[in-house]
Amino acid sequence: VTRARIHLVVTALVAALGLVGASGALGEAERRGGTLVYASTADIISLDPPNVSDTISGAVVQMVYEGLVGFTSEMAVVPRLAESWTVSSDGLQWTFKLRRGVRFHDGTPMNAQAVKYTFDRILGVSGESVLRANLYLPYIKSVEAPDEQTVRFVLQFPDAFFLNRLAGNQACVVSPAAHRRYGKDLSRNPVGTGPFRFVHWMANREVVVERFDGYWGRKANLDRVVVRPVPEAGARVIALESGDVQLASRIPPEQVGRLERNATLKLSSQSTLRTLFVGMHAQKPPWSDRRVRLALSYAIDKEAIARSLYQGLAEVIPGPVPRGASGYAPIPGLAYDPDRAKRLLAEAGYPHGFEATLVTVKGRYLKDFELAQVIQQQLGEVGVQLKLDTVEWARYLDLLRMAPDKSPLQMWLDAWSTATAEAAGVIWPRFACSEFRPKGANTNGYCNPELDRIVHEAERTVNVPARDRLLRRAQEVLVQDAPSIFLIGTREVVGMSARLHDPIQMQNETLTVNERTWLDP
Amino acid sequence: MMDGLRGLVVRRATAVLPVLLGVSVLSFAMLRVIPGDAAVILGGPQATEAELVGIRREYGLDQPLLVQYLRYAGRVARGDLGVSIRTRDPVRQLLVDGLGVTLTLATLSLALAVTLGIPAGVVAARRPNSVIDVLTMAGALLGVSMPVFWYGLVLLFVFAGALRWLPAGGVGSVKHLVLPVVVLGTAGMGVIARLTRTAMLEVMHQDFVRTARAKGLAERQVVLRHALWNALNPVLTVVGLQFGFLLGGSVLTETVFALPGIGRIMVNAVFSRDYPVVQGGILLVGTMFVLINFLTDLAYVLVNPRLREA
Repeated sequence: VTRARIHLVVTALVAALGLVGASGALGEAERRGGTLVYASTADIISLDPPNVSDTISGAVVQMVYEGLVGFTSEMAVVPRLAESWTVSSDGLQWTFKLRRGVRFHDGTPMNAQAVKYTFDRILGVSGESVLRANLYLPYIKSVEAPDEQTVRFVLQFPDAFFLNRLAGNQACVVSPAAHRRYGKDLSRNPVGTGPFRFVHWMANREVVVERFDGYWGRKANLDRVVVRPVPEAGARVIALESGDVQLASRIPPEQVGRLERNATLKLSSQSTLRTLFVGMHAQKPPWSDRRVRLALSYAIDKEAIARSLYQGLAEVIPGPVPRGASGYAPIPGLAYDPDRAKRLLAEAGYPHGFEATLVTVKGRYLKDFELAQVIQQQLGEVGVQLKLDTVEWARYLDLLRMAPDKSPLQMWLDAWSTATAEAAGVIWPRFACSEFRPKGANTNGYCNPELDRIVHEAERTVNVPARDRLLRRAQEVLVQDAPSIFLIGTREVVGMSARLHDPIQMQNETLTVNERTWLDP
Repeated sequence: MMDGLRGLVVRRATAVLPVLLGVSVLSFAMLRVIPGDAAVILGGPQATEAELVGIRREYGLDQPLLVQYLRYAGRVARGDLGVSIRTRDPVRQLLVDGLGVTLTLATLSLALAVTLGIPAGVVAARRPNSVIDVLTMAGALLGVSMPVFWYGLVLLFVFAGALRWLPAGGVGSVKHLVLPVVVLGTAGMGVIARLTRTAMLEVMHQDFVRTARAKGLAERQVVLRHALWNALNPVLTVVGLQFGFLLGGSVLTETVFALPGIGRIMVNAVFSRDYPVVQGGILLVGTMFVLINFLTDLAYVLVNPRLREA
């Protein structure tokens, strides 16, 4: 038995005990029944797991489906359809024992063949292409089903974050019978094993799920959940105040004070895996000079931004990795030091600063445009004159997706979140030499072979402490190289009726419910 | 008279086809000129090239534009508007549902605007520059200028949040429609009231009105039977235009009140470059526009017999 395996089994046990403990403590007051109406920011897009990439579809996927493992709200990996698992000593084979007696909502059994079917589909064995295939394709070689309750994954290399990958929405197990029947339209007719089963989805009106009485675990408390898109934040708040809805996502910071004074409502805030940063084009002067990039980073007062602009709805982060991600290292970042910034600019040959354009979007990320304005003002104080260029989302995506040698970008406000909640997945696609846009997500055109080597090794180190040491080193390199001005991780506030208990607010910005969520009469 | 009308109908109907063909070409081309495509937006900022290739292939976006257009036109000719790239919703069903909501909203708010706007304009025109005129026109100006977003939220705040008389957005009952109809109706009422007043003032000074008065007709008859009837032409035009505008332009109201109308569907589809939905929507709204213009023309002819000879 390898150390990694012991560690994993212990993690699974602790997590399982944690779940039991939590439900036991809450057990007395819980009440069965009731319909929860939940106001989301937009309509869902797809309920076919490997085609899901937005958090609202993700919220419903979490109700209807389950994976072999899943994430807690703090992004810890816990068992779901798998009861236990082992990994071979070379880290290349993962063997999962499935829970017995689990059935899909259509009555067909959830077994090893169903799991294999789910992953064969993602890997393109059946010829179908799914949106998020790349979360799995580079890592999984094949999936075997040696018996009814056993699934074995054969990997391309020892994958340090394999369990995180399996815990995402995209790896949820779908009913093979349903997929054979609906094909691509599984997205509108989802069939999983989750505590709620799908009732209907009317575009721009509502998605409805109801308690699944054949659920393998304890049956859900709520009878029904109605997810209703209410795009305008002010209208969401009023719907909450009027009692029309009992749960509302994304409460704007300026409404928090008013809602806090309302005794019939509760607010809850959670840090997210989304980080905001300013990208800099590492191949163009003056940003090709590391001293300039460091200077611009020192010139920004991140603490003040978190405190004043975000009023506590943000946390300063040292590098690109959000605090909630596995492998995050709490290292010191580049603290505010305008004098040092000026000295570095002078050393680099820009004693009077320079002019540049900062591309930004408006209303897409929390206070994005206001943040761009603060950056413009703070960089102005060290002599760097920024012109803000606010562009529409599609234009912005086009700009981000250009190859570094063709990109007109100089500096841009940007955000990143991670589906797998781990550090390597945050660093590699954005900063590896092989991942320049459009193939990968390296918009900066930043390349440091030393960083590549460290992250490459970390991705293949199944031993957790050793892996995290490597990732810490990678984060230190990135802080010192400053390819982007790393700013903050955001926090998100959700509002709910005081009658609602235990909704699930996950760090990946998914607001959902599970079988234990309940409503007072 | 029947010949005149039939001629008009035939002339107008033959003009409709080229207009719709033009609309289909334009809606197809415009979307492809602006940055981004459906795959880029569906994939988001973190998507890799490999992920986008799959989407483009599946929806034929990797084909030459001409091929894409011909395929699209061929499908439309068979009455098939395709499925949404984003959600796989059948486009026709999506648009018909959305149009149902928007048509209801537009009809009710226009009815409100006309029933309040025309009398207000007539009352104001009867005594120009009187207190009642100034107050009515100030009210009309306020109605036209209030930002829909702000006004809608204030109404929601008062009637849904504080008083709890009405639901805070969404669909499902007549109650859900009250606030959005008031919001849209207020703006339309302002426009119609101001226009009715201007048209009435113009007509009131014309000879036939003086003649009617000289004949000794009651003032009420002069105003309603002679003046208003003749002042209605420009008002009708604007009512027709307003209706068209309400069909496509109620997107802000639909957003504030979370109504699944066609305005919101279209704006979302444009932002996500959901080509089949945008193209189908423009075609549908274009057809409606042409129809409404056609009906407005017919209404002119009915109101003004002199046009029948033209």
